[in-house]
Amino acid sequence: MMRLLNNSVIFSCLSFLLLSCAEEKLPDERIYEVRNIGLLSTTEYTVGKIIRLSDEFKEEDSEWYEYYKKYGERKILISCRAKVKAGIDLTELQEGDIVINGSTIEITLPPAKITTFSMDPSDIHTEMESITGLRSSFSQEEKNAFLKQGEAAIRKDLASTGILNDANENAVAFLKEFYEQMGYKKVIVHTSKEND
Amino acid sequence: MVVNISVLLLMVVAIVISYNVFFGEKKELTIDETPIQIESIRTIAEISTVSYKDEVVMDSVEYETENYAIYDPRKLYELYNRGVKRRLTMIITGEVRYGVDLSDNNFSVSTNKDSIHLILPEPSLLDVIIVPSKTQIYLEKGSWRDSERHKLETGAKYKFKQNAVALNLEKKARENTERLFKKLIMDKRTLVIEFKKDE
Repeated sequence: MMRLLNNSVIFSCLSFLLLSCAEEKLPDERIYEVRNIGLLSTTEYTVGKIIRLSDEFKEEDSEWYEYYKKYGERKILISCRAKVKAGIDLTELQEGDIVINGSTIEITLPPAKITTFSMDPSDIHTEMESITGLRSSFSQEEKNAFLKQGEAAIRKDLASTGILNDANENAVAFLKEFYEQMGYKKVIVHTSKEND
Repeated sequence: MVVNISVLLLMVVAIVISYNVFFGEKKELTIDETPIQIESIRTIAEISTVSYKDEVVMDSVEYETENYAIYDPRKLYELYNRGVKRRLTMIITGEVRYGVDLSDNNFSVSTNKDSIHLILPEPSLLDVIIVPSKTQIYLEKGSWRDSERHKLETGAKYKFKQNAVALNLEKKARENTERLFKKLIMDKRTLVIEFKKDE
C-alpha cells in the first residue's frame, strides 16, 4: 500500500515538472505605427449582412473519423454590420493636378476608394445557434473565422453598391463649395474613372 | 454478449467525446452566400490626417475555485491546466484616425488681398477601426459567450483610444491638417489657419 502511495506521489511530481515546461507565453511586444495621411471621406454606408452556416454531415467530403457527424448538426446565424467610408486620398494629388488661372481653378482628383472599413463588435450578434446530437458548440475561434468570411464577402459586394460613384460626386460638391468660398468664380473638378 | 456490446458502444461514444474535447471540430467551414443590405447612406466630409496602428493582447482567465492538490490523481486535469478553468486570449490589431470633421459645414473661409483666413474645427478622433480579419483568437479554453468576447474587444478599443491620447495625436493631426490645406490651397496669399472648438 505504501509503495503504491509513493509511486503515486513520484508520478504526480514528475508530471508537474514535465508540465511546467509547457507554460503558455503571451506575445507582449508592442509595435505601433503613426502615419501622416490625407483622406477626404465623403460618403458613409452602413451595410448589414446575415452570416449563415449549416454544418451537416456530407459523405463525399468527410474523413472516416468524421462519421460521428451523422448524428447531429450545427447551424448558426450571425448578424453583422459594417461602416464603410469612401472618398479621395488627397496625398495622391500630384503637381499639376491643381491649376489656377485667375479666378478659375481646375482640379483633377485621384480615383475614389474605400477609406474606412470597420465592423464594430457591438454590431455583431449571434441570432441563432442550434447544436444537436454528438456535435460540439461553435467556438469563438470558429465564429471569428465565419466573421472573417463575412467581412470578405461584404468587401467584395461593395463594388456593386455605387459607393465609389457617390464618393466622387460628394467630393466634387465639397471641393466646389470650398473653393467658391475662397473666392474662385469658376471651379472645375475632374474625377478619375479608374476606381479600384 | 449484451454487456460486451454496451461496453463497446460506450467506448465509441467516449472516443468521439474525447476527440471533440481535445481536437474540436477543426475543419474549415464555408458560410453560405447571402446578400448585403444597405441600411443607410450619409454624406460626410471628414479629413483624416493621422493614422495610428497598434496591436493589443486582451486576456481573460477564470481559475478553479477549489484548491487543487498535486497528489490527488482526480485533479490531474486541473493540474495540467494550472488550475485554469477557462481562458480566452485575443490579439487585436486596430487603427485609430484623427482629423477634422467638416460634415456640418462648420468651416469658414475669408479672404482679402494679402491673406486667406481659414477657420476649421479642432481635430478630433474620427475612427477606431477593428475588423475580424485583424482579430486573432490566440487561445481558447472552455466555453465563452459572445458578450464576454465583446467585452474584450471593447476593452481593446478603449486601449487604442488611450494609447492615441498618450501619443498626443490630436496635436499631430493639427499640424498635418495645416500641411494638407497648404497643399490644397495653392495660393500666393498668406494662409492663416485657425482651429475653433465646437460649441
